[in-house]
Amino acid sequence: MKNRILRKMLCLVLTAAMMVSVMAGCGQKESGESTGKTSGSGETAKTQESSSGADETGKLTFPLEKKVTLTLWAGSLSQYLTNLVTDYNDTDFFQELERRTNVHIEFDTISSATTASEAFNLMISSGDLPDMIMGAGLYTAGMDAAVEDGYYLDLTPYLDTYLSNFNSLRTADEDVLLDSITDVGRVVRVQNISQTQQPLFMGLMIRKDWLDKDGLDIPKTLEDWEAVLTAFKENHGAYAPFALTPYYDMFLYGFNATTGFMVRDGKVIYSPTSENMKEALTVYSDWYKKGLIDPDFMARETGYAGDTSMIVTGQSGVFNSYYTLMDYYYQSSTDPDMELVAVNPPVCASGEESRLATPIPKLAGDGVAISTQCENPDIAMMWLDYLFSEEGALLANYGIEGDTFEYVDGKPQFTEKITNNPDGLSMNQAMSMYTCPPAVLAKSYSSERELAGVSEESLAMCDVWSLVPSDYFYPFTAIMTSDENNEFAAMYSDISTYVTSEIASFISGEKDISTEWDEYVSTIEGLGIERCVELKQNAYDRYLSRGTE
Amino acid sequence: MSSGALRAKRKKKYTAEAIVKDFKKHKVAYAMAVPGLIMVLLFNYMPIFGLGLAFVNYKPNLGIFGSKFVGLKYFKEFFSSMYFVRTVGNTLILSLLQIVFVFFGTILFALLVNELKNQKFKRMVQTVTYLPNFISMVVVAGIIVNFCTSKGVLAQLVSIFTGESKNLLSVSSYWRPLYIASDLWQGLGTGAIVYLAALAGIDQTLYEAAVIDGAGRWKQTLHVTLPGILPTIIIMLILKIGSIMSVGYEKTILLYNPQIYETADIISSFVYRKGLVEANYGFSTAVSLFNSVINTVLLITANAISRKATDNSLF
Repeated sequence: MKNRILRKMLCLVLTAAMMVSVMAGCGQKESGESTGKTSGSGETAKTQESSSGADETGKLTFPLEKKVTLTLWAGSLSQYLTNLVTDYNDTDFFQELERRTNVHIEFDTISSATTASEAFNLMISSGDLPDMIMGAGLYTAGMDAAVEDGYYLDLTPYLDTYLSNFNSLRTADEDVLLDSITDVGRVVRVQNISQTQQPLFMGLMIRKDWLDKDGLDIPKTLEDWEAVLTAFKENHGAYAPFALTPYYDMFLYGFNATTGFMVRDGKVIYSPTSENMKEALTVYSDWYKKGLIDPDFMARETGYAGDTSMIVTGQSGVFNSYYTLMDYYYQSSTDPDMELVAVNPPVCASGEESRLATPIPKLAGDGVAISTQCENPDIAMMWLDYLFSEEGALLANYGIEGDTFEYVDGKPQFTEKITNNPDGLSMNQAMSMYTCPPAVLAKSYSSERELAGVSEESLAMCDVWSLVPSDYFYPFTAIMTSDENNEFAAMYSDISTYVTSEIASFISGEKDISTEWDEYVSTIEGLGIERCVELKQNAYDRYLSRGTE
Repeated sequence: MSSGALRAKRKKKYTAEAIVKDFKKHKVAYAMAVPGLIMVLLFNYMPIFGLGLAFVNYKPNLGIFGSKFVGLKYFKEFFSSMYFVRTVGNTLILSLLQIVFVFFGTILFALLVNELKNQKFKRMVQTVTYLPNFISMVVVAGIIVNFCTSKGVLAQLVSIFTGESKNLLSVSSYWRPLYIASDLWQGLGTGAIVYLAALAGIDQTLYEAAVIDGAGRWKQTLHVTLPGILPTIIIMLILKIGSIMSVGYEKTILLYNPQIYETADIISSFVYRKGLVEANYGFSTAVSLFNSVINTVLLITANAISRKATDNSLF
């Protein structure tokens, strides 16, 4: 009898174990099934489209008769909203959008503790995808791979129907058209399209008031730069005159070097092993030794812009930033005389002109993709497309007429509610509450709207930064096929880890450039850089020939 | 009693009847173990099925069986990678340093605390050393990073000796001392608890007997105290050896920066970067699996050696 109980117990444990594993299996099967289902419904949508597609879309108009709820993975909440709301649905803009479309969006936003790419990878690996994915570009293997791997819906068949507004803007500009399609000719995501060419909005800033006090000009040559930085250190007590950050590219561009690939005369070059890079690192390590560069640069965890606390307390005189931040620095500075102007990075001793800068394409942003698990792809597409219609774009950029904007000389202008908010919101915050926040979703974007809150002085910065041409820049949208990408990634991840670590070591003098450079180059060659360059070249060639077929 | 007889006696204790009887007698106690068991099942046994990831080019929506089978590709990639020797080496060195300084340091600390006669002071020491354990790792890392900047307290202190103030976290040779020292600061008090408990369990009459035999403090420690807590030490050591290849990634990724990868990058931080940052699931699983296999072999070996040599063992 006792034996029987024991056997029963054993059974129980075993079934429990089975249950657990079966359940796990179930989860997987379920998600597999639903993918099958939706891709199936995609098929039917396609066939419908070919037979009576126009009618089908004709029936769907906003606002919908019955409320539809869609889910959207939104990454982290817009930086301007973090102190105001916890969910996009709490902003006036999204409430108005819901009123107009009768589509309710459930936003999935991540906590600020994780990085977007990490959270994105977790979301993808969970197998449980939302209807729409913002930050579609975070799928590092490329847009074609995202479709072939079965995550994103191929939007190409719907361009003329559900995405007609987006499509007409997309095809109106040749650059946008080229950038929007993948190598095999797909359109996979909906991205921001700028109505006008936006100037380069980020770069180096320098303390003009310090320069004036010392009777110095804006530095151009290497000697100028060294003199200026030395003066900052000695006369103004800056302990980190040049706030180098781990975003090295900005500082390397002046030398026609970058931490990745670049194009010169149609040929792809891996810059970190080039002579230009060697010269840049030699200069910076010399400056580091002389105490002209932030001694803690390698351990700083800043974003693109330099460490704010160092800037406003006068510890650094040259740093990376965005033009919109200048007024903020003035407000928080401990030195009331602070004056900033834009400056372009130091250039080669030989005087070789820099032709490397970050281009600002009209089609930009990581974009929004529709997942294969979306059950209402038609509604999702139309919802996304709405912000590319004239009516939708006006709402996204300027809000509601009479409330947040008014027409002045036929052009929309923000009212005081945005520019001088009665509740004490900054312009960026107000813009994010009442209109579509800058980097959120995808829309027909009016960059002119930003100018309302920016002083002319700040705007003048963009003109300086835009002086540097971006001919040598490796285009964002030259993308490898998924096979190429697999081969590339296996080699390149080791290389880039090695290079970031070595660049920091060379600058800080932990490694000596004059003796250890050759070893560094041969290590990179040993890791297969030649093949990587070849793959990048192929992708670039395909990018160039995209429009010609 | 020979060890063979001992084992025979042990065996007899766990018959089917005995288990059932014990189960009936302590139903509530067993029920209390259920949540723990479920946790072990969920987090320690379930993931075993996930090891399949190491052999396929894993795409989450295709599942393990749907993804393309690549065999031992990722293992070969790892073994031939330039980072193989570096990450394994760094992990082992850090682990050994932990055993030498943290593991034995903790025992030494427990012995010293045990010798304190002033109860108030003893309790205070214990509380003070125990407290850092409750500070979140993220906060601790933040403190360390701040102290190590070129103007930070620690860097200034070091500059008195070296003459130059530089960021301590930018020098690869400082990494290990910093890591171990902060480990000690945070874990000394907590680690000592288990030994203090063992020390409290030693029969006081043994000390009296030793005193009568003419043993001083030192001899008492050597012949009564140490043998008394030896089983605990051995068990703890076996467990530690069993995890020698897996130094946690949390502290490392919070503290390191690319410039000091040379000494700071360990297997777990490498796996983290490969798996979560680069989404290369197969590769990072392969590295983890390799890691676990070595750990298991070490654990079993250490256990066997200890069973032979000291009669103390985990299983």
